[in-house]
Amino acid sequence: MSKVAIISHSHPLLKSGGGEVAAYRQFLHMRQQGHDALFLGVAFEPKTIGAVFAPDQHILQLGEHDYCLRATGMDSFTMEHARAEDEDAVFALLLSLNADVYHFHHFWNIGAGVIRRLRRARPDARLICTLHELTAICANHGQMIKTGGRELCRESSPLACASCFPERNAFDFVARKRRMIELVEQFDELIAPSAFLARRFCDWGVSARRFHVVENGIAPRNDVEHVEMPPGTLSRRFAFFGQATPTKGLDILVHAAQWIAASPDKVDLSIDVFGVTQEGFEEIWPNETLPPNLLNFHGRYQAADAVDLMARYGWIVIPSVWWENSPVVIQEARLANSPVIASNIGGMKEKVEGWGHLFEVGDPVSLGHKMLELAGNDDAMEDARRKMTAPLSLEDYFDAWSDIVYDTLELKS
Amino acid sequence: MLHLDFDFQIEPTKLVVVGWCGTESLNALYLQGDDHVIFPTLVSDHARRDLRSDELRGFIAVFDVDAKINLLRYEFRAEGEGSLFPLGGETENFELFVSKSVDETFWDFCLRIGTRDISVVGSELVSVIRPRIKSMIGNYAETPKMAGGLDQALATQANNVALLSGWTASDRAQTAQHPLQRSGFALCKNALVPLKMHWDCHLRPDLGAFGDRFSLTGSEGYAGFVHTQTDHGPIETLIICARYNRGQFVLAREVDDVAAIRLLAAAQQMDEQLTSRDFIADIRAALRPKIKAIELKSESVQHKEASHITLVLEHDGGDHDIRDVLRYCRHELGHGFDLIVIRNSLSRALKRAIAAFQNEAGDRDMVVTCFASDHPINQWNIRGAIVVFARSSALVQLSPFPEIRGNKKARLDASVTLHAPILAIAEKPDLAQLATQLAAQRIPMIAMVNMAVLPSEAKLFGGLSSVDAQVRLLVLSLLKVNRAQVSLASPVPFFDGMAGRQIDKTSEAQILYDLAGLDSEAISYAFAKAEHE
Repeated sequence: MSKVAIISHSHPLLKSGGGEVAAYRQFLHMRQQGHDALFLGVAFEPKTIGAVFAPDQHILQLGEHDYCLRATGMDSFTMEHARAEDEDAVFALLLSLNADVYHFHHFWNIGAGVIRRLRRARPDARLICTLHELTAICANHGQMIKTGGRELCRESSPLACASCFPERNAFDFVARKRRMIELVEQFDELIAPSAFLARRFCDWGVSARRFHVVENGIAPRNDVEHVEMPPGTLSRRFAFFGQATPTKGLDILVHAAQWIAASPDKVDLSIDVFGVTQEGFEEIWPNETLPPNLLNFHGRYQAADAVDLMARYGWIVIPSVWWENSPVVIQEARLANSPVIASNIGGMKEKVEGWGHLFEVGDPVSLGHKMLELAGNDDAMEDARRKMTAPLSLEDYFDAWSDIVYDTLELKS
Repeated sequence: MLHLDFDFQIEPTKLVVVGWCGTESLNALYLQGDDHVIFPTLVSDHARRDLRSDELRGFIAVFDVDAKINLLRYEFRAEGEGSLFPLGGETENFELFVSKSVDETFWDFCLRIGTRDISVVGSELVSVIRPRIKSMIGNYAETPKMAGGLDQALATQANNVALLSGWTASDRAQTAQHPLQRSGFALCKNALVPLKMHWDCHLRPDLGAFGDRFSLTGSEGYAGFVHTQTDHGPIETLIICARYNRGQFVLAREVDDVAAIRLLAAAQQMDEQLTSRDFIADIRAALRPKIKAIELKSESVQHKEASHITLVLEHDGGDHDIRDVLRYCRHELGHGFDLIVIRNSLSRALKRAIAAFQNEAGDRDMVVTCFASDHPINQWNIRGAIVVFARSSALVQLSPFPEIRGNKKARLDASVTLHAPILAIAEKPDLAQLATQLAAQRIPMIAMVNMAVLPSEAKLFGGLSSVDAQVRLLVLSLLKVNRAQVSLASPVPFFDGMAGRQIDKTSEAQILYDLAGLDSEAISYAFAKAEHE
């Protein structure tokens, strides 16, 4: 049995995001199935570090085979440790794990140098990487949107990137791309949770042959409670699940609600917002007027409750104004069998294809029209529900993963 | 009414007569000999307030006279005037003129030095006039209808070059009949030398406060320049003279003696706001170092293939990026190397990045040093003889290593890869053009050079102050004797690492100075064209 180290740039027990949650689910599933797997996440927020690490402590054990490494700070532009000794320490740690398979979910906080050195020190090991976003390509938090606004970026290049970052010059981006390409080349296999993301990397210069498009696994749910409602009720209920970060496009949804409130064709509908309080919204968008009796803010929710909450809504709205990759919200909506209305770009478009509804990204009128069209339309909702497929289960993910990682019979055995 | 105050001969063929008369007589001055009349080549009038008159009654008249004539047989007269004045024409009278003449007259005399109507050459004459010129030192002056300033006066004595800049403003739009007259000259140890002036060519939006008094165009600034001869001696003071209507002023400023690169930088800075392109061209020509090909050792003393390699990096990327550059070089070379970084000192980030590279490469033998950019390249302390010199941006974008590997095995002492995309369009680039570009521009290049060809003399590089220029001179010298291979990089998108970077003023000045040094046609002709035609 091979030893598998699953390494993530963050530890989901300390800070949860899509990538680290997927990594952790993979770890838990493998442990559950009796595999020799360990998890190494990184704590990088100073507040968290202060709360759980002693001043001279670098590794924290959070469970059986479950570790958390204290980050020393890494600029995601360079993707390298600032100090050689920090890199040495992380490299030594990875080496000491003595794994047969190192599966990285992201490489921030681990470092390009560590991965290059690991590759050289362990030519026999399988190095796998799941790319959860576009950080290697885009220095703007990997979102491929222009800085200073929300204009979508379609192609990374030294010229385009230098205009986004006036404090840097084009050569900085030439150097960065060389480093990132070299980094990506260290891995034996690359996994992309969406074809969209894989395409972006291929367009950027990574060989398509190196990519495997495998959606993140998620535990199946057979126990979702669907509340019985009178006809025409559920399909009037819309919900947003996410954070108040500008790229999630909550303001687009609010603008759409304003447009609906003012529309002569207004129909009865409700919009529930999970993950954001009204105060939180107003903090980011202080000048927005919320239409009365249309929007309800519910604030934070537990990730474990998301699917059950979604099941109470006819439509889950995903108005993100960046490309997204493989949003967990769509996976959860699929588990809840709640159809999705999403922006018509990137991973959102790909993941709802065949059953979801799309609107023009960043266009509240387009979204408003779509919501008016679908509000109370039970037929459309049921049609979408019939066409929706369950997301990839952890078991299926593991099978696909095994095929990729152990791509020779010898390794499989 | 005619009066002669002074007459003197300070040039063999010129007589200067200074005096006053009725304004109607100004156009009627002459010298009367036995049977010979000499008319003046110049009559410069000026106000003489000591005569209690605002009229332009004072004059300086200049006569061309034969060196052989006996001035004692001539009289100074004005047509229609009964008065006549015998002439002395002695040089001693010049001393009297300098010490006794009223300011208006003396300033008019100065104006005519700047306009080249009168010359004052010779240490004795200069020693006579120096004290009075020094007494005029001042950076600002004004009359009711005119004002001016002298903002800077710089000189590079080693190159016999000085420049000055300032401004003048007047209400000249209102009185066209009295033209604004201006000139400038340099007080040198042994001569007064006229300046080449560029008037009203320098944008001076800061003079707006004078707008209610004078007619401003926005280009009131002037720039002046002088390239003296060696026997003129050190440049001491720069003088600006201006006359307009009945007003006159003189500005004078002692020069600050600065290094050539600083003077060039000052000129370059001014040039950005000059409407005249001649100014900077004059300065550059005057400051151009006397570059000539290096006398190379006839044979390489060290076999290159076996030699240790030193990478000399002008690192123009982010500090942390040096690690990538070094890793790339090691991968391409297939072995270790020593490193010289062209910096005054290594920043903490650079040190860390280099240490990280050494860690990753496991290369503890690598010697890392840094040298300032003005350090002579033949005095680098290197192991072995082979140096690969490049800017980081060129090294990583131009893929020079196949070329380097190939030429390392050949007998050539230098292998240079240039990024010259326009020349690369041609099927077979002209080597002379290539050499010209190499001389004239700081174009991206990677040069592998056998340093054993260099003599160890200290002053090998003719004052070139940047490593880049020194290496280019070395390559050109090797090219001249067919010991260098120059090739063009494949045309690829290329981004210079210096783009948008803040560089310190000294480095900028060094670059400018070296460009001035190497851009001469002489270089390209002497080093390349003649060899390859």
